[in-house]
Amino acid sequence: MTKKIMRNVLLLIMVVTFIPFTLALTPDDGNGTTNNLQQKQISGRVVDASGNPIPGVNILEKGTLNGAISDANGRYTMTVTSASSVLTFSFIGYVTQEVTVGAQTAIDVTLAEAVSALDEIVVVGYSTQARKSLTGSVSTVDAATLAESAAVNPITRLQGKVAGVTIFNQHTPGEGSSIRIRGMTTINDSNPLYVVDGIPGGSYSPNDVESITILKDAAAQSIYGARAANGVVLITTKSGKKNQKVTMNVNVRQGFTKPGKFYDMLNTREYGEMLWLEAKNFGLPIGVPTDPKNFTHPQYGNGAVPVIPYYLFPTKAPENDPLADPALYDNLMSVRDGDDTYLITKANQIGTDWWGESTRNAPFKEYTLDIAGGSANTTYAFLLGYTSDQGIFKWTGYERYSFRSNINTSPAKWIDLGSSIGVVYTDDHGHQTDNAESSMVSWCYRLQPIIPVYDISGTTYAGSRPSGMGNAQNPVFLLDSNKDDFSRYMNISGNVYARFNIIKGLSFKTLLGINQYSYQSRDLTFVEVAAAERGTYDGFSKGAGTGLNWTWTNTIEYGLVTGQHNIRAILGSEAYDNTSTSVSASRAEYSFLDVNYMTLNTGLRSIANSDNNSSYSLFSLFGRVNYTYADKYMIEGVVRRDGSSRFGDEKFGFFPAASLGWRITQEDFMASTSDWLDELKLRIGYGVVGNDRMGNYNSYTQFAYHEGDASYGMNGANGAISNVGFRQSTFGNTSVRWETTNTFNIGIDATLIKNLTLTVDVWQRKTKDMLHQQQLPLVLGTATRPSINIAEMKNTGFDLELGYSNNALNGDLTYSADLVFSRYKNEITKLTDVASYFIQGSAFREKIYTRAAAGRAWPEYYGYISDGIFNSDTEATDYAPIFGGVNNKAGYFKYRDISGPDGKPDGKVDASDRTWIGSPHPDFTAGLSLSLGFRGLSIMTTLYSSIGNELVNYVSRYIDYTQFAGGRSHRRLYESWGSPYLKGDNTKATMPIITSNDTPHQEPSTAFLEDASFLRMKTLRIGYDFNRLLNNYFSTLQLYFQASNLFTLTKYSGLDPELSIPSSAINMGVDQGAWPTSQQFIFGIAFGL
Amino acid sequence: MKKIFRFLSFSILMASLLAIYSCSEEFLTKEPPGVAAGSVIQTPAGIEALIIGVYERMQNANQSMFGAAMTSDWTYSGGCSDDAYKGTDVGDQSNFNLLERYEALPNNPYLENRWNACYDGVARANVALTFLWETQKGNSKLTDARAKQAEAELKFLRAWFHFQANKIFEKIPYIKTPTELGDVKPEEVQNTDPGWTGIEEDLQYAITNLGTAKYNNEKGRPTKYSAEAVLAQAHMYQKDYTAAKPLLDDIINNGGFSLAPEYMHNFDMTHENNSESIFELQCSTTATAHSAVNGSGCNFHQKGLASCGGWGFYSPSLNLFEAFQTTAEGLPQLNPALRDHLATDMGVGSGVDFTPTDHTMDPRVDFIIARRGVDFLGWGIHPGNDWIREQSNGGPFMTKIFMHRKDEQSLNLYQTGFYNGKNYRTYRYASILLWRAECAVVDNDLELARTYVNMIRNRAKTSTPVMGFCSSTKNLGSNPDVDPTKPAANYKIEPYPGPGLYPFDTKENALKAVQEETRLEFACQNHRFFDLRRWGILATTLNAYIAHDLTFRGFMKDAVFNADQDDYWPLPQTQIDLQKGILTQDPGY
Repeated sequence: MTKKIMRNVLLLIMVVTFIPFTLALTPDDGNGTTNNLQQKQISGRVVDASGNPIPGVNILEKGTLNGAISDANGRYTMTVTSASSVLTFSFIGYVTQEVTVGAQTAIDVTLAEAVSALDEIVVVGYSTQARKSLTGSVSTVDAATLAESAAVNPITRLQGKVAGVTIFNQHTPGEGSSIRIRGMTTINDSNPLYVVDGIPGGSYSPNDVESITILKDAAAQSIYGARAANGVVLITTKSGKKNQKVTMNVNVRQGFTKPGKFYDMLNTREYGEMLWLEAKNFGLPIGVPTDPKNFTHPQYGNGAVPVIPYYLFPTKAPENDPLADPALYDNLMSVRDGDDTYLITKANQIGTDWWGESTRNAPFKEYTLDIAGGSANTTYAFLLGYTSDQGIFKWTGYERYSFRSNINTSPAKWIDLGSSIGVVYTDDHGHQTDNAESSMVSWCYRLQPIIPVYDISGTTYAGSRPSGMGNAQNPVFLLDSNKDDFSRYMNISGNVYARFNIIKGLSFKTLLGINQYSYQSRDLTFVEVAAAERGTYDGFSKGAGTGLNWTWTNTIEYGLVTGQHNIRAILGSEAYDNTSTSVSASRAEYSFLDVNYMTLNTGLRSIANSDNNSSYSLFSLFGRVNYTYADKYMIEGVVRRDGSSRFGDEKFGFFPAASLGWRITQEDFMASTSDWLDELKLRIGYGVVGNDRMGNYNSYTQFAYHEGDASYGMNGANGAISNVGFRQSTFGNTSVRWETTNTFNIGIDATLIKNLTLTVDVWQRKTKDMLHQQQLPLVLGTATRPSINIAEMKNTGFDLELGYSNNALNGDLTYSADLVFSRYKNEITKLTDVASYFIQGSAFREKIYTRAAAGRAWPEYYGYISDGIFNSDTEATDYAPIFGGVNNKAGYFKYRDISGPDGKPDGKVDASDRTWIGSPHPDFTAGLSLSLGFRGLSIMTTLYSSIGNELVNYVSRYIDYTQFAGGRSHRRLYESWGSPYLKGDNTKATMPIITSNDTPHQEPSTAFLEDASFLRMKTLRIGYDFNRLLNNYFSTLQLYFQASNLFTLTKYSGLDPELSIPSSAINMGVDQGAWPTSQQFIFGIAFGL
Repeated sequence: MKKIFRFLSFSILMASLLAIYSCSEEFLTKEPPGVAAGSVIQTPAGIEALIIGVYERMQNANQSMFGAAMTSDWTYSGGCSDDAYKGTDVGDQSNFNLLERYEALPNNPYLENRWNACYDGVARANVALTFLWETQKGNSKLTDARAKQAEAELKFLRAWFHFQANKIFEKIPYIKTPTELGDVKPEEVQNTDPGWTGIEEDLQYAITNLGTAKYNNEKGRPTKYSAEAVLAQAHMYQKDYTAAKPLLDDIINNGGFSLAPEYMHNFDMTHENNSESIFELQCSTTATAHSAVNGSGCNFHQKGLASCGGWGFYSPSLNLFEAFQTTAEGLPQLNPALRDHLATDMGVGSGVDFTPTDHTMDPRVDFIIARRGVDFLGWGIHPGNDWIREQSNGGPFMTKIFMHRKDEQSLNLYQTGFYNGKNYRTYRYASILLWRAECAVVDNDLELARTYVNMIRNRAKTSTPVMGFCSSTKNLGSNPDVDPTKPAANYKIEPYPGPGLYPFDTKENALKAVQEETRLEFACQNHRFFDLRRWGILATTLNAYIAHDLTFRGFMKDAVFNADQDDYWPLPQTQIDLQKGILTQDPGY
């Protein structure tokens, strides 16, 4: 026995060490010899859809009392009477399966999870509940579903798996995701409350998770009161089961992420051609050097056609030019050697593919090890995980290390004790700026193709410093020089609890949890000597911070079952305290550029530091009563009273909810439908939840010292801002309260023909007293406006979850399909008392794309409607004057005259002709998960689609238009109005005429708006259960191949139609060059003892 | 026994639960860290700190750069006039293009930036005044003398910010404290006029109460003369020379000011607050902050030796460069049509030979304009194109006066010098002399006008010119051949002859001479567009400039200056929307 364990452990080590690719096991076809005896011995193994063994499965020879029970590895052995015997495999929570024995001696069975998991226990706020007695809208995702995806972030793995939530992914290494539960509840922070094992916040790795429960309506949420308006996500981590033999599971998967296609950019030759076309269109003389206005480009020359120079620096120098004598070469700036750099740089005659130079196939690895088990009184689980997710851009990546220990014990009947401790350490490194004009995606299109990667030295990066090269930075330089930047984050969170079982049905639980994080970041900024806007000194900055929140929860729970009555009640109090602090410091000018040398101590100048502190507390009382009569009628009531330090005079709020459930199929009159309708439940709930996220100190009027914004060097000295000044920094408001959201939900849960489940919820959520920092006229100054309770918002929608699962061929073939569908419609019903009031998004290179106003969604796009392009000057001058007439020219955008100051078309196009032109919100999102199992082979896939959402293609301004002198799109030369490539047919033009000054083209308009609907295959996974071939030697041995994001169908012309929600949600949907979703190919092995 | 234990532990826990509940009020109080409450501010130290906060708004360090352009006014006075271009490449700050081409609409965000900067200053002054008056009612208060002076400083500042607003917007609301406004709330004040009444009243209060000594001897404080200079300018803007004259005379006769011996003493960091300075914005840098009027880097060359990351904005125009030529007599050519065309290195690579003009030039050209072949403030001989962001858009020149000399680099502690601590001499004695000369021309006292103008010209003549004649102008990556003993160019400047000689022979010619002298002395400073406006020659000058500029570059193609429409800029639409029925849009824009 010991030897066997040893052997298994050794094998396990081998698997871990040699990684699945090197594993060479000879498959055994598993066929035994045919036994002609009437009595025959059958053995086999029962596993679930993911190949994990199911212990305790009841195996019965049909029509007899002859049976067996599967062991901890899912194995069983039994003797049957004849080949015609039928075996039934049953286990709670799984679909019962029947198999005719026939000639087989080994019968392996994969049990599908029961679609009607009525007895499933669902985690709800502060307690658990059987699914059948739920009255609120609650969705749960289990560990097996989470394991299907290889996304680093657990929330990302929920995309397409849960109805009623919309998930917006980000694609940098170790990506984050924004989740919105049932629309946008508020114009303020719309992120849900995350609760990990009863404690708010806390990190965890996907493998730690036993289940994720999403509380979607007030009936379920109200128990979290003032923090629940955006929904609540409850994460429960894995634990062992009582009387479970120790199990050990190892999962190894690794593969790579592949960069996709980039924008179609012009090469060096085409770029010159485009410059000449711009000049010609602008009306400049070309090829007439004697004319002072003759078009001249410092590199491409002043001739009739562009000439690609041999050298970029010295400007336009020919080969063998004495000015390009390598002896003159100097890559040291004047601060180093007293004179300026002289970076001799050849032109890249063909053109540099900056995307290709910056990206790579990036390795991905995920290893996890779980050990779990339990005795009669104690259960335990130890979870270890490592993930390495390298970015498609060179030198970027993310690593996560995690461990978790969950132990529960009942030393005596009257007491249960337990603790859960999780530690997660993450390390993000490299240049990971996302969705910004300084993101790596942007730098790849912002640098001109004529610039090579390196100058003639072959080691110093070339850049935009030569004449006429714009001002972009070299992406490969940035990636290389930022490779030692990091942001490291450590989270320790956990809890201890004790439950006293006072008398039967009555228990008291006290739970103390902490969530402590600390982070450290380092940011090195090396001077790019070859860049146009190079700095002087190399800089270094460092940040560190820590935060601690603790929660102390005390609950009394009472349950009574008597006759047809089932009462459960919980009453509790909770104190929560959160403090955080951070410091940051920086210096510049280093004598040596060694990354170990560069510290805060060794920088010679620009010594700066700052700190930041914040605190917040909550105290709450809450209760819930749930009464069920005859397993048929359910009623539940919840109240919570929250006190929050964020408010002034009105600290306390009250959040009630009530809900009803009716299991119609339990009624006698439903007997006639019982052959096809197994379960039908109606749920109705109404309740109030709150949102207190408006910053911690809104009630205080503050006067602040600010060195840069209020102080003044009154004594005239340079080098000191001598006089400390104050400014009023905020207007306080002590009478403000939280936002309240009233939620109404009506839903049905149904099971039909055993295998088909359906959950539909229709809901409405009305937010009132929504906090808003109302704009005041600037004549009152610019101190931060206080949040006031003024705005209102409405979300309506419905969620649908439809599942079907079945098997055929005696259980050899299992298949299932799950569809989730979510729709929300968001509307701001009121912003302020002024009907015409609106909130604007940020300006992106001076143009504002988003706006929010009453009657519209939060947010929508605002701008001009472009009715195409003027085809002739006559057509243009006959048209209403646009911007005073500057746009009335052939080849210019024809903006529609829709309004005037009085709301009617006024015969001229100006600012009052802007209107609502689109929305970033999808009409709906849907996910479809399909799985198919045949003997050991399993195939599963998840498709995800978002329909009706639009994006602003802001990148277009950089590549199709002239926002800085960077790289330009293929389209600009070949498809612009008047391009010779259109061969005179300007109706084919996809964009306006290109000229040296195209400011009028760049107004926010429908021309920059694109339909970003998409359908994406999120995952495709093909696996095989090799354990079958090894006669179930292990408890699991599943090998699989997995592809993520294999294809995306979309009309969007940018890199990716999916964009994360920025921290200022008003700027949603502006694509500034976000890291795209990439394909990923992974090979994995799941191995268990 | 077991039961008792169970009961005990339960009771303890319930008791602790109650304990938390009872102390929850205190538990739920979290005060903001690192800020002060009103009670702290209502003290002498608090009031002084609030006043400092108002001064800061004059240089408005973090908002000044483009749309606000507070104090330096370079967007509106420079970029929109014949002095300079936006510079850089065409897609950069494209809202500026619209201003430059006289196509600004009310939704151009630059206008809101300017409005924001002006009225934030006004609001800070009003908060400080309100707190000052409240504090004086209590026990811990300022001395009566200081309180009066403080009030005068605050009213001086309040007038200043409104003046900054009415340079741009034709009619503005004059916002005072709620105490002064009585029944009308600050947000209900309408914009019915340019606000001159308020500006003049506040400045008059300042003149009466500021005295001739600066509070605490601090160089940045205004005196009576500072307020007189501002008020005189306000009168000049209204063409009220009679009212301006006594103020100017008081400054000239009693102020004790004199022209600095060197023109460049008005633009360096080592002669700040000198004898010429009447009111100066104090700028400085620390490792963590800067108070810079206009980031030097913002208009610094992009690629030069200083490598402070310049952006290449604010390029002087060809028109301005050519205005600096002098006649054989060392006088300016007052008729633009008769000016010689001067060679520039437009379109000439730095590796290609280029010989700068040998035309006689006013030496101030190379104090103000940076050009190829001439030393750039000690940072090296300007190599031309290699330092220019995009010649085809912004021309071959750069401004010099906002950048610091190389030997002043060590005075700049903030990062790399992109933001320097160079003070901005908002009101200097030279202005007073030229305004007084203008008044004299109006009075037909041409000899007095000539005297004052010649003081300005003589100072330019006696100033040390930019030295270092460069005979090799190819950029070779090493130091070119320079003769440090010879001036960088062929400088020649002389005072106007007289009395009674051209141009001080007729009122009309004399006015032209004073106007031209104002342009040259204050080129790329904060006056040009507004001066053209008060002289009533905006349209003729700017349309002639457009035509001239089109021979040189294409940017102004199809641009037209329309005097009725483009003399002021429209009010920001956002504020009109927020103050419906209160603010009225400029019907002319």
